[in-house]
Amino acid sequence: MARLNLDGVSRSFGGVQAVKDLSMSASPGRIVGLIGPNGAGKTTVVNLITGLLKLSTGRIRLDGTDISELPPHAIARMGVARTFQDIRLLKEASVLDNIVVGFHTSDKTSVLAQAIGSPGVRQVRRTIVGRARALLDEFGMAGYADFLAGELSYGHQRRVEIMRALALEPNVLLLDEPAAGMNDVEAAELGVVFRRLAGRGLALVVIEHNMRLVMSLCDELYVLASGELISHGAPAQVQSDPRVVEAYLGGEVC
Amino acid sequence: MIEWLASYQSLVDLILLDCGLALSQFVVLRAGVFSVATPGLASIGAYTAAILTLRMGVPAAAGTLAAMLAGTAAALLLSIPLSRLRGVFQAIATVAMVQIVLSIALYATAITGGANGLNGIPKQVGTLQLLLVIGLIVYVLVCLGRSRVGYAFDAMRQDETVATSLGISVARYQALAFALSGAIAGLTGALMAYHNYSVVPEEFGFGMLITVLAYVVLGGRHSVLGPLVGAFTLGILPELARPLADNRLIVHGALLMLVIIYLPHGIVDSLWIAYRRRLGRSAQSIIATKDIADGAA
Repeated sequence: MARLNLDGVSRSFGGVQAVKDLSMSASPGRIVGLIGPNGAGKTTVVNLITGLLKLSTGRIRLDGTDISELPPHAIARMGVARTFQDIRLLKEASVLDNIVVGFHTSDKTSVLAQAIGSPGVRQVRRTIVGRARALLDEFGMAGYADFLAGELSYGHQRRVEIMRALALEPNVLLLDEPAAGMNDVEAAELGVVFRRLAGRGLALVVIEHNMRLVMSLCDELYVLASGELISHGAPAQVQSDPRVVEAYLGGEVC
Repeated sequence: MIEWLASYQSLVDLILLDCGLALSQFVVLRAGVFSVATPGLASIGAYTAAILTLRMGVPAAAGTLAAMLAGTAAALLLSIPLSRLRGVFQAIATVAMVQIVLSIALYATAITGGANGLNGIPKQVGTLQLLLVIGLIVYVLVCLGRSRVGYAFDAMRQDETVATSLGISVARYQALAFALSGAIAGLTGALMAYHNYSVVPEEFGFGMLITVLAYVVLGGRHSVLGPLVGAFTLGILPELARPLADNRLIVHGALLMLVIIYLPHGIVDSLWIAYRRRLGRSAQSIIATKDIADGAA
């Protein structure tokens, strides 16, 4: 059964239809690719799923529950995590703190207990820091814990963003161009990580322009052009779809 | 000698009271809420304490508690309309709030004593009590700063969209920041009433707003140490040299401009960031050496 379900989703800004009647789904253990030329509406789809933008029409369901009207923080709390196309780390904070902040929902201590600095709160914080360090280890970045996030290279910043998203312990992970600014070796490494995450039962939705990565990584592709779904299927199938070729390279010149 | 000590003590008291106001201003700024309501909230606290003690003979401890609750309640009420505003609009709305409180204090003569204020409040707060209360506030803020609340505040200040994407309810934490700021301001207002013998409306006006804001801008808004350093620096400055005292406002203004241009994060946070950078660089060289060693092996 699909975990995330978009049913006839549309969104218009004034007269412009950014997303038109899109239906798609993502399931546990699978990596879904969302591709299309620039301006196709891919990031808008992520913003609609996470509740940052309200739907004009349609429904979005998570494990059968309608999340179309929920505020963004409630959707995050239900296990939908994301990364941002324009990396958005807390640049004034250390790498470790950037990941620790991602564990917000795992800390269930009361504000009062926090205010008096109770030992229970300190215990929870220690556990969280331990889990953040474990994530850093897993991504091969243990040595960077004390760096300021803004000082890292592009590729490393993207990885910190992914770790922060994973700190939410999501069921669905939406990755907006995770391999942008990485070379093929780094991108391939990231692909291995994504496959491992899917293996743990996460549903992944990846927006990506690196076609080599998309074709080798994704189980299923959705192709958007001008807000419309023009093709859907296995990577090989989509690759040979004349409509996709036309969207990317333009139509035949008569 | 005793005279010198006595004058010194009054300066310490003054700085401690300003620390309380600075901490109230700090809490909202740390959470990314651009409220400057602290003087208005402190005024509510001071009048609550003064009225309760003068008219009803309530003891200082109970008056202080009531002032804290009044400050919290006023701040929570204020947070409802302000949650729809952001940035400079929040600032403008809270400036208006400070002016409204000031006007009420001036014109509700029957309750507040009007322009003359309330006088003859028995002095029940000295340096020791001030130290205790400010110390307690600092302790609570440090504890909160190191736990979920502090991380949520930092995330909201730096990027609200990121904060919501991590499950942080911005509206709830903004209300919490307001409530904390109101509680601290109310508490400090009560201390002022029980310390200064009198409460006058103009004390809690635009001048206080700018001064308190300057403390936090100068000191920094991430670490709890920031507002304290700011209040101490600007509090001691006029005592160091007569010309500094005579041109107090000019010195404040010049200092603020310098800090905003050269240390935009404030003294404490800029030092912290510089320290982190150095730590990062030395870590980078360690990683680089290790990579070379691994490559050689």
